[in-house]
Amino acid sequence: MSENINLPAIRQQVTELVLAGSPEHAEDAINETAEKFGDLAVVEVLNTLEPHVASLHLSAFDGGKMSLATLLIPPKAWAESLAYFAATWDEDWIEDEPEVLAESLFAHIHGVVFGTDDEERRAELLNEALATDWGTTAFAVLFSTAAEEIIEIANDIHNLGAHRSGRTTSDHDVIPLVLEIARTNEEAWDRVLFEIFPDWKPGENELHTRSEDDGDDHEDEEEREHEYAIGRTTKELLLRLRKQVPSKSSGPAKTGGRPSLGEDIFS
Amino acid sequence: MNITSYTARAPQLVQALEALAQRADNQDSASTLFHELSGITVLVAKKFTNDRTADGMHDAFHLTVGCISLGISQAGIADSNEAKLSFLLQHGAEYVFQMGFRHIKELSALPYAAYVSDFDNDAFIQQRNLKAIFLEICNADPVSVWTGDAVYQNELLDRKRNRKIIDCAKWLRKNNSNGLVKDSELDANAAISIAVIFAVSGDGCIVARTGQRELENLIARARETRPDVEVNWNDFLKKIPPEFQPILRERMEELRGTIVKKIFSKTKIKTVLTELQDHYAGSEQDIDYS
Repeated sequence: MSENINLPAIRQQVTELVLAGSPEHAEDAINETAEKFGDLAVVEVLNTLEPHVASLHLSAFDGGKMSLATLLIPPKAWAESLAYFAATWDEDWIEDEPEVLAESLFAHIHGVVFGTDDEERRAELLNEALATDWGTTAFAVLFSTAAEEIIEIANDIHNLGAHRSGRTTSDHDVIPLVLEIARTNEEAWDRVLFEIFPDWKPGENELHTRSEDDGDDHEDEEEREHEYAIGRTTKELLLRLRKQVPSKSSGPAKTGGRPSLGEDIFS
Repeated sequence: MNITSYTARAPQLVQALEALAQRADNQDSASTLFHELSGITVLVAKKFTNDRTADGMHDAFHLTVGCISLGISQAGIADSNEAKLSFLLQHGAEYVFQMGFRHIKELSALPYAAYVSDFDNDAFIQQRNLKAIFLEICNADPVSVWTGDAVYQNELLDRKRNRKIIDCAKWLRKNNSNGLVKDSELDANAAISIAVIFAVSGDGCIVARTGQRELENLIARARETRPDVEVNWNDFLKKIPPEFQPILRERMEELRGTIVKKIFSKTKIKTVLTELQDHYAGSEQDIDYS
């Protein structure tokens, strides 16, 4: 297993390139690793990357550009890295351009989930991501951009079951993702729905979008709050996602170079 | 001599940090030290105080400062801030802390009193004693003065002396003329006093354990035959290994003018016996009267 010896070095190289702002070169290193040692070696490298580094790298390859990392990152590592996706957003940005941020998040998630044809891998990616709070919030952000469609499909899924639903009046980009989740893991789908509509009580009230037209009509709105569960806005959800970014990872690597004694200081 | 100038000063770690502040290019060293000190504080809190409360962290912080200061103070380096800093940077805070903690452990392993008890080997008691002495000596507030190093020195001398007294008493027990004294508990000072008191008779016996009857006989015989105490004590000392002789000599000085004088005086035997029991023989005198 001589190739295994190289993995920490490759991981270090990728980490340094990513942190230096050179995802293309990091990608080159990953491609080279794949050619020399095979895909499993890449999987191993991606698995040991620090989640914020993985996140930084993946976010550089959204949409048009494809990355080997997108295809090969282990589901768990991806779920961890999602926590850091919102790290670079500041609040003004969220306030001014929520659509742009939601769009980039969508490109990223869509790219990773549908980058693979392997049904099992896709299911695992969704399961791992939705097993975390930030993952659930991230998906909620995507769906909040198409609230009307989400309500329509949510009702369909509720009435007909996930496997018989599929058509909405306007086929929005997020619908395939919704169906993928609902068919893979129904509980996760419910969690995402509750993340968007925290006041939703199934059977008691109905999902409803926040309507901007009659925003002044307070009396009317108050009355409707009993009948309808009003969803969170994309902006609110983006803020929630931003707040879930871990403030610090396990800590920066020691610069002193002296290995720590740990508990041995008492020996 | 001005004692305060020696004791009233900041913990050694703070002195070293003052030297660091004077250095021009100190960023890297400061940052490394900061990380090391933070790490140590967390470990100390987990082990000794409480890493989940602010108070626990605060106490651990003071213990960290004190323990590292103790390590520096006992390393035998020049008494200048710069020398202390060089030592700290050369070895790293963790190793210096380890040195300090080893001093504490060494101290904790020495007997607190000249007494051996069943509890000495109990792991729980040992851990409790270690913690107690660690908290006592290493609690150093960085913005205040610290005397833990002096306390450590005094305590070390005291305990080393206790160790010696116990070793001496054990030797006496082992060489007891009536055979080895078997008892898991030992009041070392009492055993030594008994040996010294019985040595006045000059019969060549080593006595580390006694009963009331033996003491009665000793007093009666002493008053009758009036032996030469100094000659007999000198003969007795010749049988003792040289390392224990100073302890016995010291005890002789102590007893010559007090209880030994009373043994030879006209004081009532009952009074002398009571005093022997209360102040000298203690738990090394058997309770049974036979």
